[in-house]
Amino acid sequence: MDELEAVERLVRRAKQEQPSARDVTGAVLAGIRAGRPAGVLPLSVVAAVASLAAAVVLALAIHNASAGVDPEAALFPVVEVMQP
Amino acid sequence: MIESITLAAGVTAMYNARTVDETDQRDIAAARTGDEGAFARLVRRHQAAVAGLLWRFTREPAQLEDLVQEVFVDAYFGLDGYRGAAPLEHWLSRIATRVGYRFWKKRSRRPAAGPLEHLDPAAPPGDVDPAAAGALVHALLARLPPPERLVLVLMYFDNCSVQEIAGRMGWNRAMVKMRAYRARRRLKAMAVQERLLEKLGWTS
Repeated sequence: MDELEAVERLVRRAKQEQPSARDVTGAVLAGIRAGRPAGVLPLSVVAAVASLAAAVVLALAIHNASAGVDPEAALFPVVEVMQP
Repeated sequence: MIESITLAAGVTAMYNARTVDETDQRDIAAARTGDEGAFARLVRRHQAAVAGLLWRFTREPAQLEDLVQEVFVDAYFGLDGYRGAAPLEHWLSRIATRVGYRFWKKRSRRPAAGPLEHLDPAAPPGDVDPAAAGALVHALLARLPPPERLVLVLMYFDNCSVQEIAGRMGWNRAMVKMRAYRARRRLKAMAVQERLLEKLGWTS
């Protein structure tokens, strides 16, 4: 028998172990009531915020396109030509 | 009420399950609507299996309780991510593995464990007490880096295949194979250095 076989034999013995643990139901419910761990946002919240932002950008783009506003032209000041 | 629960039977049930239990389905649906009682029933039914898996990550009872609690709190807040395609036990085992692995990674910054303390030279060859064997294997594996340790724990104690480990951890199969190879090599070197066979009295 080599050392690895010995470890595997120990593992087989260890699997027969009968450890016990306490009921954690109360602690779990308390943890849930205390709220989500800080710094973790559910994916659905992130998705909802991103969708809202995309909708606002799309609405503005449609509004500008339908109003015929050229964003580039808006950068230049209006030059009025004085008639002599 | 605090009760003691037996872990070993629960672990076996965890990995033998193949279909989604109807009682689980009902309680999951209710828990999604905020029914705490339904989630409490899920915890009571599955905590033994989760604790049995996490027993391979820590043998400190207080830490074990904290980790089991963390698994179910994570599960509650991630319940919408459970599709119901596989038994709840499988989904919980994935969460538990990740929680346990995260726990190891935090602790791996601490100094490595000292010499093996769990050997009982008086034990007859081949007749080591299961709890002593568990403690000894735990102490040996604790000296490995967390990724290698995880691969061996899942292979040895949960009979996971390379593919199952890769799926559970989001690693590729080649990486799992490499980690298993390195872990065994390191483990053997440590066992030789500790004169494990001699201490166990298993030399022929």
